[in-house]
Amino acid sequence: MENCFEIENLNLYYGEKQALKNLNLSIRKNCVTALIGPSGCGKSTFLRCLNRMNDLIEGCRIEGKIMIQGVDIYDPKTNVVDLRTKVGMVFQRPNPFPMSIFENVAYGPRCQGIKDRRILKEIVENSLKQAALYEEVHDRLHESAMGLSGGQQQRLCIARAIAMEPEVILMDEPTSALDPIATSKIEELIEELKKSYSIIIVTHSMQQASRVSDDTAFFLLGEIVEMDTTRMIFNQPKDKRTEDYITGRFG
Amino acid sequence: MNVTKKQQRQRTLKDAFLNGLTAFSSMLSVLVLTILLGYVFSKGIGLVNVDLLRNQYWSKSAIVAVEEGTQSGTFERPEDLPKEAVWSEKWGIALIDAVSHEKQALVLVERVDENSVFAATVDTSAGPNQGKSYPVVPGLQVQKIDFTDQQGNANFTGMLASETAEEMVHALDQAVSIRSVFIKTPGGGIRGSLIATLYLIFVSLLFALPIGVASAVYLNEIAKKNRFNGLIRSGIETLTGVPSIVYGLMGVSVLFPITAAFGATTTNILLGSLTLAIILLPTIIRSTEEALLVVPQSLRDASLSLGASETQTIFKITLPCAIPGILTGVLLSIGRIIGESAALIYTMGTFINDSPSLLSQGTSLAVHIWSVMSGEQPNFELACAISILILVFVLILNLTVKLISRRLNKAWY
Amino acid sequence: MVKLDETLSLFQDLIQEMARKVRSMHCLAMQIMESGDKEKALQLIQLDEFVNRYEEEINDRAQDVLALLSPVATDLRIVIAGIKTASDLERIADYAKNIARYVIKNGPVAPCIRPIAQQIGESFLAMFDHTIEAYQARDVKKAFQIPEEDEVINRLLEEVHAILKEALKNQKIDDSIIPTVGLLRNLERAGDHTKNICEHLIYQEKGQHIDFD
Repeated sequence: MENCFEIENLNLYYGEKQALKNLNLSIRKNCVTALIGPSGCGKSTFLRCLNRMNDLIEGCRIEGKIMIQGVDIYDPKTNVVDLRTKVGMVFQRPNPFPMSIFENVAYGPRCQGIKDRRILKEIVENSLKQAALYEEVHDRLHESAMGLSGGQQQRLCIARAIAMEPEVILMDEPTSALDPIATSKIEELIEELKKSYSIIIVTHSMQQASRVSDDTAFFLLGEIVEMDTTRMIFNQPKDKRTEDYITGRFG
Repeated sequence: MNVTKKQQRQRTLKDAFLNGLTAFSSMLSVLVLTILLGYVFSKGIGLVNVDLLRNQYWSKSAIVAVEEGTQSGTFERPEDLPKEAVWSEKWGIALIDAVSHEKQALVLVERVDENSVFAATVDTSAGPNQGKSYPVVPGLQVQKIDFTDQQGNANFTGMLASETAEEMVHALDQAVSIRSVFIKTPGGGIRGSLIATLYLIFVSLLFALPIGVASAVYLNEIAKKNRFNGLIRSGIETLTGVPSIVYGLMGVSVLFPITAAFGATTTNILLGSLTLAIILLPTIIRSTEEALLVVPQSLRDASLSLGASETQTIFKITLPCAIPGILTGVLLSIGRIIGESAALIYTMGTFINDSPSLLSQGTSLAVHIWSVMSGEQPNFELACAISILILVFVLILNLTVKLISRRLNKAWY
Repeated sequence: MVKLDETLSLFQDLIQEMARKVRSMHCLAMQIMESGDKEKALQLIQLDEFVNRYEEEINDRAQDVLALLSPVATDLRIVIAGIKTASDLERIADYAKNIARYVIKNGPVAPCIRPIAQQIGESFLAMFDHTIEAYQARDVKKAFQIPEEDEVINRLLEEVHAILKEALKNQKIDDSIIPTVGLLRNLERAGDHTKNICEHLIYQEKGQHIDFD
């Protein structure tokens, strides 16, 4: 199976502090990869490396290579904006823009210079359908996105990311602010989306990782302790620390 | 823990004293403000009416002549005429007693019949309008009416003879023909200052708003956080505290040449606006910065993650989200403009101009107050009336600010 | 929870597959009882290995479901009942293997009880089929009727005993007849395990523990 990301010797420093230590891993294409680990273990930091969102943080320094489609994303020649159209992101809290549902989804394509309303309409509809939201909102596309429920807002954010037709969707604890029903809807959606996209998801819920992911990487103190198929990690983890963490005996 | 009765009592006393002190202070300030407002309202409310807003400040006098020929007739008193008005059946004119804002007795025209001789008078005073039609209309002050009486003698009646409306109508009944009327337009209005103030608001915001918002965006969103930008920032903060009279001085000396280039020969409204724009800059920058800070980082992240450039993010997401906050800044600025006087006395002069233009002198409402109060006979009533207008305006602005900021808080989560 | 449903239905399919394998083993066992074909008997013994691997597979699947999908309520009971059912099926397969062993050792069933042995075998197969059907349809009512069929087998066995007693009285007894009793005993035990499967099914659907006796 093909890989969507190849990470080689990745080190990340916040000033003097090293947040990620010598990571080496590859992430499979069209699979859901879960990143688990206790708070502050660097999994979100790692996720934000993958679309260079860490660039915005001052004093953040990165060494090593992250290859996507054979290109190092930290190469000076790589265009950050292009990268981010390939690697979409969904955040912890639903964060729709304070505009209409339509405009939210059309925002990304518009920024790329697509002005034709017909094309935009098509993109918006397709994205909303893929995000399993179209049925619920098709009659109020031009109403404010702030009027949607939390779960709907998060699916709107997913639709917004899909509108860019990315290779990969990064999800940073996408359900931590949602109720169980909205959560299970998002999980179902992830199951559906992995047919077309590679998904990398950071989660604090062990159950979520076990339910939705194909591969799991366990982070601890900025290192990857173990990465394997989710089946192996949850049935027979090789590392004692992994077992302690997934069984809730950590620390 | 053992607490003795004495300690308890001491504590109770201390608490009561401190609580009492705070309550007293707030009472005091409320009392002072109430008295102040009460004074302003009681003095000025009598003058606040539409005429105040509409009338010019300076009254204009004119002598209008009546055409020759048979002049008198029989005119019926209109039914809807107020009781106080006195109707002259012979001449078809109604006069009424009034009091000027300077508390002088006046006689005003209340009604003129369309067939009356007073409806077809011609301006005879020297000037460009000489010879043109200048009918006597309601609202004008009648100073003097020259007429020929039954004996063929020239006579006159009017305020110059300290006559009341009734006496004047009585005198007119004796007249055979009217020769001329000395009329005066009503004065004491603040129309000119109102227009000048609107000019100030519009022009100074025209300059201050784009520059202020742009620099706030630069400082908050684009600039790296280094020492130089820190210096700029603290510089701007210092500017907020500079007394406006200093800005006025700078306006006259530094900005006057700019307005002179546009053809200004004296201090003018444009100069005042430019000076005000500079005074407003720090306010607008600060409020815009604060509005930008409130915009959640998550929205910026979302925009960037969708492949928008940083500039697109600023102009498509951050700035639109900050608009309510910026608007608050604008309203605060308008309040500042309305209240400003010191800097404007230098830069716009104190001449109350009834038809202000950008390059002429003029007064804002606040300077208008200064003007009427700085004469030999301070006009408290007019000053208070203008103050009421300013207060009402500021009150409306403040309420709007509150409303907008409440909506701003509701907009996110 | 689409993924859990999907996984559980695959899990249940696997159990049914295993049940079909077990059934085919018993069919073979019946043929062997009559024919005494040792070649086929050896084949049957080998088939048992195959069924054992099924059980392991089912247990692994169950572990996956428990570890990854955290099932609760009926979903959880499906997994637990599945594990138990698999182990019962494995035992039932063992009895088929035992029959094969007996035949290799002692030859086919004595002719005097051959018809009744045939009858017992057929009753067992029918009961087993009904059980599988009930499991597939998750039909509790049907599961409650199965013990009656087991009674039939038990009565037939008593008949066998009667026949043997008769033979003892008439001194017609042959040495070869004694292992036959043990052989038929296997079928009776297999019936008991089939009954257990029904108990598991009722537990799975209702969450109640029933003991058929």
